[in-house]
Amino acid sequence: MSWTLAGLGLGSSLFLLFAIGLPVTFAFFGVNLAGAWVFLGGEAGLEQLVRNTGDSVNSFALLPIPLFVMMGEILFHTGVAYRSINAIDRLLQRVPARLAVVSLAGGTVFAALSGSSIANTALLGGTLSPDMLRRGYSPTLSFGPVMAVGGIAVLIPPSALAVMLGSLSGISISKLLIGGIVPGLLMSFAFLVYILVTCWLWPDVAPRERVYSRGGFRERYWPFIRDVIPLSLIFVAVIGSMLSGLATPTEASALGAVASLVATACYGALTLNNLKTSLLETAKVSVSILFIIAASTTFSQILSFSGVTTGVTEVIGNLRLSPDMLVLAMLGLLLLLGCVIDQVSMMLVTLPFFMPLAAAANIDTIWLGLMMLVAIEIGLLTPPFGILLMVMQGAAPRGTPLAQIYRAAFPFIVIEIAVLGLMFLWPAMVNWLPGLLD
Amino acid sequence: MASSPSLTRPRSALTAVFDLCGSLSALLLGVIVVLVTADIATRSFHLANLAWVNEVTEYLLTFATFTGAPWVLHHHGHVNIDIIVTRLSASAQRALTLTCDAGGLIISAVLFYEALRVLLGSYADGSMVFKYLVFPEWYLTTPIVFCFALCTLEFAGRLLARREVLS
Repeated sequence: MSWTLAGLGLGSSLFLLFAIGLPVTFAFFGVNLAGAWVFLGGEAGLEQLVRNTGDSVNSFALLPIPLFVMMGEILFHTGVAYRSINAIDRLLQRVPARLAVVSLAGGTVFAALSGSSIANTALLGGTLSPDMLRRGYSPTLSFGPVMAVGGIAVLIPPSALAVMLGSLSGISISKLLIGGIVPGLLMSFAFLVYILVTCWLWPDVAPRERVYSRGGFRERYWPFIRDVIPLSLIFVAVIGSMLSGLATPTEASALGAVASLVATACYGALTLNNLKTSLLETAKVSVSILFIIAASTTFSQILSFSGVTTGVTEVIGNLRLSPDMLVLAMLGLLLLLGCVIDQVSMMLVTLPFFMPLAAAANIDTIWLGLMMLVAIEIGLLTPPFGILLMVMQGAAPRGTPLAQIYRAAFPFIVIEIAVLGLMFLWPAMVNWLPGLLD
Repeated sequence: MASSPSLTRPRSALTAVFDLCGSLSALLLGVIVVLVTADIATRSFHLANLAWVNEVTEYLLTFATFTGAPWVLHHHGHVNIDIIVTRLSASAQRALTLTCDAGGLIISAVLFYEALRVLLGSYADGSMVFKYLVFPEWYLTTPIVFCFALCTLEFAGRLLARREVLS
């Protein structure tokens, strides 16, 4: 069978199963069963499929996925995350669009403590967005920053998706994690500038609050010192242990989970009940990611055995695209896929092609990996399938139309694309921090 | 909508099994944190060398994934792409849901059968895993067999429930 026919058959079957609503994992398994039978040698291929399924998640490098998620779930379910958002709320006064800025600052802090974008958006969307709407903020400012900053959790370590990208592509996980800091903070800063400029140009979008009292030290600064600053130790435990060489990314993720437990215990917020809830929610999120990985490993192998990977690589190679054009094509494809499929599937479908192409064109994989993460992050916000759009709709007041949430996300998508463009044009900005690990 | 008594008892027993799987999966993830932290602590303070920890945590992750997956399926927690489905009429949605459940049943049943075949073959051959720990290979296939057996039951249960509603 020619590779084009194989590719068309495998690709169209997979997307057909996605389209009818079969869980992504089972769609991969279904195509794998047929593909393994045809391309991996009948019965022996099916045996290989079973063995691959077990082996694919039997990896120390994948441990940060549940452990980074666990950090966020612990802080979320013990209420410590809410306390830190409240503390930031008290600290930031006399700022235009105060609550939008609070959501941005709080979201950035939580992104540094949690590996889950969904938890980040759910936390802020459930608390600050309804409050902003009540106070007369425009829907764009009430929903947009919350969704946008939620996505930053993909970039700022700890990031479960960065670990997954690293382990599937062979790119250094530590470098991806560390490298996400600069674009993540840059994005957060760009969102802040957008909010302030919008408020300056159209003051109606965020009515200024009347500040009755400036508040004393105890009221205004103490909650921040008490509820936010100590949490930075969690970030230090993860990043510090990695940078100092004390721990591998996997070990750093375990230290992060322990640091979250210790922090919540010190605040007296940790109970057996919320620990149980945190662990169960961690299992729910992580198992769904890991099970997709288990299903997709054989898919990559089938693509390779059927000649699809080599065929596509050769066709694109024959186009004689410059490395920059190739990178742009890859990012463009990811942005398109982000509109219709989820982040994990995006990686699994594209990486078997992207990595050989990048290797053949001598493209810096850290730079590429970080830009891929940004493109994947943008996919969280692009309609119709942006997961954070759905999370926001779930957290928003009842009856909020999805179209309004789409419109709120739009300016932030533009900003994220601009940051992606900057990363593309200025690789040194992206590479200097990971370079410190050499 | 009330279920018939003949199906209620097995279904709630099955739900209890799924929830037990979820709790076990969550517990295993907790154990991983404890083990990895103990390894770092003992290594940093030169107290002991827990060289087996990496390998054991890998196995625990595998067990956590395959015991947790049927539980996540039972609670409709696996990612699916519903942008087309949600735009269809109610009857078309019902038809697609039925198709997905039937497809899921076939896929899970075939994988269960194949995993069982691999397990029995591995048992009969006496294949062993030789790493830091040495043990029979079929130990590692057991959670996969268990996972797809439960997924098969879950999809079968969904189909039965739908048939019951239609009748």
